Amino acid sequence: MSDVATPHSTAGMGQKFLSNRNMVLTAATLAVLVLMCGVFATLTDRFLTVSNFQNVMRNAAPVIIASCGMTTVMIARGLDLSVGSVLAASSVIAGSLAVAGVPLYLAFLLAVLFGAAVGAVNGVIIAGLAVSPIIVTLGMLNIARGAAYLISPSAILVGLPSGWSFLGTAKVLGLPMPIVIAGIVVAVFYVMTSYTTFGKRIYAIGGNEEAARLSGINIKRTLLWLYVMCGMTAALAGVVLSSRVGSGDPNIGVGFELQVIAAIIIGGTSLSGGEGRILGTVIGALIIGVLANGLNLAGVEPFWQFVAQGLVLIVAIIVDRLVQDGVLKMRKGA
Amino acid sequence: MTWNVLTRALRGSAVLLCTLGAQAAAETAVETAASTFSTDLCEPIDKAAVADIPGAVSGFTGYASAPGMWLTEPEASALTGKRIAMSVMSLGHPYFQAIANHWETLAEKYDFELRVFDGRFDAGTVQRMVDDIISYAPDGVAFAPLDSAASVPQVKRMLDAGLKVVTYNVQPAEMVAPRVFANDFDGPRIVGCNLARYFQAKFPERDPVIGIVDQPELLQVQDRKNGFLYGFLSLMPEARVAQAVNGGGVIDKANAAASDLLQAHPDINVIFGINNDSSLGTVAALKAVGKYSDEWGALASVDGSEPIMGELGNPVSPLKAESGYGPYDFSLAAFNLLAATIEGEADETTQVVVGYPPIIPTEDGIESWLAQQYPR
Repeated sequence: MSDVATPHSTAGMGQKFLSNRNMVLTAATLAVLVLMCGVFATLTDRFLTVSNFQNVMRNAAPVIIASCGMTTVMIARGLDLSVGSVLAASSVIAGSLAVAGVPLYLAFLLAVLFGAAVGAVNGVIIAGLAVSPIIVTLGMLNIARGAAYLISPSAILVGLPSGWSFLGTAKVLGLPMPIVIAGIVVAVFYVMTSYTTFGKRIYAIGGNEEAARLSGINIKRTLLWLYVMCGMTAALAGVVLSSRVGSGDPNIGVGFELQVIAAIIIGGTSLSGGEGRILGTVIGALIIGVLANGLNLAGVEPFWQFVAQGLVLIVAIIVDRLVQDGVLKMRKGA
Repeated sequence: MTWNVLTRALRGSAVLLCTLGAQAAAETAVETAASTFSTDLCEPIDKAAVADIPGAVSGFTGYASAPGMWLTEPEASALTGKRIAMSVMSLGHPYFQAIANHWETLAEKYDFELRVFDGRFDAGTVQRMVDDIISYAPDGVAFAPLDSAASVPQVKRMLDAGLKVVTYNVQPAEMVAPRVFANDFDGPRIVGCNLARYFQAKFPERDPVIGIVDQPELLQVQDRKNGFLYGFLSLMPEARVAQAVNGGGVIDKANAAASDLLQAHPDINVIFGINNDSSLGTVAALKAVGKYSDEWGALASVDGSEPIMGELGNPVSPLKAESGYGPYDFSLAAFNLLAATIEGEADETTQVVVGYPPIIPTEDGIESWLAQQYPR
């Protein structure tokens, strides 16, 4: 009989549920995604299939990978506009090394380390010299893109070894490799932000940098690591994407940073820092991916797709914010 | 023992036969593409099938003009000793990179000072670039417009500043200066004709279902798409156009769009990529869903850059028709036209139409195209 809910115990359970605000907000974002899937499933019978699920996930994987790094930066009230260019530069670095005969694993590793180096430069300037992240990473956006063109001036690389496409096209237990890699990156960042001291420091810095400083958090070092990880995930996304399209190409990833930022904001990360969640970002990336895929499968004309994508993204944000406001009011009421 | 030997021998023979069969099939596919190849335009066997396809929507004119003498390297040029500005849409694009390389070779050969200006595929950058060119005060300008309409005032500004200007590639919406351009309708139309001939020969029992990896915001690209459809439907009027998706003209976006296209219409067996990036993105999408094979269907595109030539020459690739958009031809024609303009032998009514030569899918055909247009 003890498990029979009384009004008092129900309120207690509700309070406990509401105390986990992140869970509710993630559920709200997930509801938007499910709603979209439902709409597309009614519009076309091609949408709800295993192969299309893999297709959506495969296409969304680079955005998910890069978004994980960027989410932590944004939680700490930072921003990295250079992720698209780092993605392109890592693509041609890996490609050029592979063409030169460097073993593929080493070529991919060096490309990811290049991303880490770019992130370190961003982090040193932003954290060490207290320069606006927008300005620094905007500059880095141009530098990295220029570097990509300098490395591969005649654009798409040819003569890549046969194993080049492994990371983009191989399957593990039936799952495409990009999905597996994205899953691993998500797991790492989820654990880091949810269960580690380092994760708590990120939220503390984003919530109130001065308070974080006074409580003994090394702001500069933490920010430096965040930008390093952001650069690494952008470069890893570049390696995965290049592997998928079968080439190193300095032209890939134009506008990629906007997709990443959109996914993160849709996922509930605040532009003013201190709030955000990795799972929300993943759902945000999937919302963007499902939207593009669903509109194509439904045969919507390309120009209307621009309009529809803009509208749905705005509606998704409004719904998310309404739910957030509702949660806050309920918490206050409780 | 004897049984084992016999079994092994039979297995070996079967493997050998399969290998030989596969090779024969692959050779047949390439040979089929080569044997059905033509440089001629095909005419519609059923005019009703192509009646709804728009003509040249980009408003280009004078397609009947031939490049003629403009594609000959002269013994001497009026550009010698001059200061020349040459702009490109974007140096990040292999085609414009090749254009810049050809111009540098010409500058060395004919001894003139060359400054290359990069438009970075950005309207604002091109606008500022025009001011930079005027400040540079060259003796002649070979200008690559980014946009037909916006280029008219840009060219006029340079003319008002007293510069001698020719345009190449995208044509200005008005006749403001001598220009070099290509027939964006008929070039891809030949590709459509060739792909239809190949499809008929290779898959006589199949009905073609067409998908397009498009870039709908560019009128020049719409001419490419419509030209291809006109050519293909001229010979196979029963073909059904399933869908055109926006691939953005770059490999990563084209790959995602082509993946969606293949999901939406699993019966698609013909795809046209509006440029090489679009086709390479499609190739990757076909590989991802296990359809990358000459037995899947047929793929075509235009541009003729080096990476796509690898596909054209690959026996198992479905890419079996390609027309070139030659950087050498454009460079030489613009070079000669600018010399004529400086000498007062050309005016705003002068136009040079360079071809979209179809590339025969043989080793020799591919090598000779690359050697001239994309020399290493």
